[in-house]
Parts: sequence; structure tokens; C-alpha cells
Amino acid sequence: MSTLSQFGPAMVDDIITSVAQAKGKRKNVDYVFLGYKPYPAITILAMGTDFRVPFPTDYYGTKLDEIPPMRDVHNFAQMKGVVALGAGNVADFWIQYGQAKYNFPLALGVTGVMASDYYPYLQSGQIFGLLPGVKGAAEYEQLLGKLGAGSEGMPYQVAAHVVILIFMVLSNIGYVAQRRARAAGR
Amino acid sequence: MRKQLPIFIVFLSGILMVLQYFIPHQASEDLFTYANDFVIVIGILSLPIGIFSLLNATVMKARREPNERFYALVTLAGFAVMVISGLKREWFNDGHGLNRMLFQNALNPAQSSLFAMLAFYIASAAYRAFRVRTILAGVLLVTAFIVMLRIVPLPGVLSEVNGEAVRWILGVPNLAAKRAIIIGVALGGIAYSIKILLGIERSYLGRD
Repeated sequence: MSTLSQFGPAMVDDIITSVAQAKGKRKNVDYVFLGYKPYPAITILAMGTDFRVPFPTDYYGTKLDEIPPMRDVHNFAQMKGVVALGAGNVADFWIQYGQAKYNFPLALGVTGVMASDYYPYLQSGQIFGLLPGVKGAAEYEQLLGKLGAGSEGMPYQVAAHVVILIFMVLSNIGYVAQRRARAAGR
Repeated sequence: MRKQLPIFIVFLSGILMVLQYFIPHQASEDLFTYANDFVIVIGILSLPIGIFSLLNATVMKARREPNERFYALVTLAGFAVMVISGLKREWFNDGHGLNRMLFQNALNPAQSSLFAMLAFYIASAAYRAFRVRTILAGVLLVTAFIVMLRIVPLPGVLSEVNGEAVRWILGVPNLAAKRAIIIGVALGGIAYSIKILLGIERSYLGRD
């Protein structure tokens, strides 16, 4: 795991620590967290050369060559795929500078409003999967048969969308009524 | 010479990096790594400018507007505390340290609150913007309604019909428009980059 967002390190560290504790997984044995580097495009291109170029050590300061799972892993060629999760434009960098150049299987998890931007890449096969927003997370949990934070967030998502839909209907009823009243007044 | 030299440097380094991108050789990768060091150094040099700009703007604002002084103080205090608490890797990585505590209990809730407020803004915007004033506005309204309806649980048949409609909207008209935009932006980017490399576009040099 690595992060290309300045808010990522603490967030990822918190999540992987709690998930690892819950699942009985060990740091630098079952998972590796490389940490954060700025300039997403440069970092991704450098990772394509060797992970050790942008990340000589992991997030906790251990040299990559001293971490057993990383010893024979140098770049994307040794990875089965990449899953990029983010709410910003980092997904674009993964497609343009990562997948396009190094041709690795890529899947994205993005916010609901961003999802429509990535359908062209899904259709062209540049990404093999897309998790759109909380709904995508909830659907993925359904597929796995393990309900979690995504499914817990759905009621709030539904409530917000119902409010917006009601507002849209009310707004148009008011607009049509206003127009009719104006027309009748003429 | 003041203009020719930067244009020549941009041309040379630009052409070099374009060629490097397409050459799968160790020397090419070494050149890329070396060039990256330049970018990182330039980035690091821009950091003090950013810090100075933030501090200067905040102090000036506090001086000019007495009502803003409290907020300016909060900005400066927040900046100082976050910098100091993350100065050493051990302090920054410590799951129970001050930096992590502030991240979890101040930054995270503030960001979540701001993001949650978006729902109210969108609801308010939906009330004002989605009105059938014209045929195109009507098309937008119907499309938005169908796409947003997919989040709402519907009875069996309705859900299937809505799902198919959403798939068609996202997979056909949305895809066509997005692809056109992406290709247009890419062509524009290529044209702009060529103009910079050839010295036709010189706005990055400043006005004088």
C-alpha cells in the first residue's frame, strides 16, 4: 500500500492497523505500507522503475530490502494488479502514467460524483473494475457477503438522495404553478 | 538572451523527457530518476515560498481586519502545532501522538462536516436549478432524476427498469460525451505542450 494524498498516511495507518488487528495480520509479513510521497505522476512513474526510488523505506522507516514480501518485488511487473482508492484526481494519474505506460491491471474506487468520468476507461478495458462511491462499496460488500461500513452508510446516502429528489419535484410543481398563475393573470 | 536561454532549456529538457518516456532502457530510467530529483528539489524550494505566503497573507489580514484576528490566530496556531507535532518521523507515525490526535479529532471531523454540508448545498441547488425552463433543462432534469433514483431502493421491476436506464445513460450518451471531452483535452494538451517546447507559448516567462 502507498498513498499519494497528503491526508493519506494517518488515514491508511489507522485503517490498516485496525483491520490487521481484527484479522490477525502482521505488518511487513501480510501487508506493507510504503507511506506518502508528493507529486503523484512522478511517484507513479518512479514506482514503475523501482518502488525503492520513491520509497527507499516503508512508512515506519524499515528499508524495503529488509521487508520479506518486498525482497523480490521491484516494480509493477511483479504485481498482480493495482487498486487505487481516492476522492481526488489521483485516479487520473494512475490511468495516464501508470496503466497506460506499464500496462498493469487497474481497478478504481472513487466517489459517486466522479464515477461517470471513469466509465470510458471501464469500457475500453483500461480499468477492470470500478467501485462508485458508497453504493459501490455496499455492492462490493454484498458480493463478498460481509456487510461493513459501506452498507452502514447506505441509509444516509438514500436519505440524502430522497431529499434531493423531493426538492426537484417540489421545485418543478412550484415552477409550473407559478407559470400557470402568471398565464391566468394576463 | 534573457528569453532565449530559458526557451532553449525548456526545449532541450522537454524533448529529452519526451524521448525518455518511449525508450525502455536502463539509461533512460536513470535519466528519469535524475530528472525527478530536480523536480523534488524545485518542489522543496517552493515550500518556503508557500509557507511565507500563508503567514504573510494571514498576518496582513489580521492587521487590516480586526474581526478576522481570531480566525487568523487559529490558522497560525494550527499551522505551528501541526508542523511541530510532525517534525520527527516518530512523532508523526505515533498512533497516539499529538499529530495523530489532531488528525483524528480535528482535521477528520472538520473535513467530514464540510463534506456532509455538501448534501444540503446540493439539495438547495437541486431546488433552484432543476426547473423545466427549456427542453434541454427538461432532459437534464429527467436524466438527473433517473440516475439519482438508482440509489433509492425500488420495488423489483422498477429497480430493474431503472437500473437498465442508468446503465444506458452512463454507457452511451455519458460515455460518448466524456470520450469526446477526454480526446479534446488530450489533443489540446499536446498542442499546448508543443507550443511551449517550440517557444511559441511564452506566458510562463512572465510579462517583461
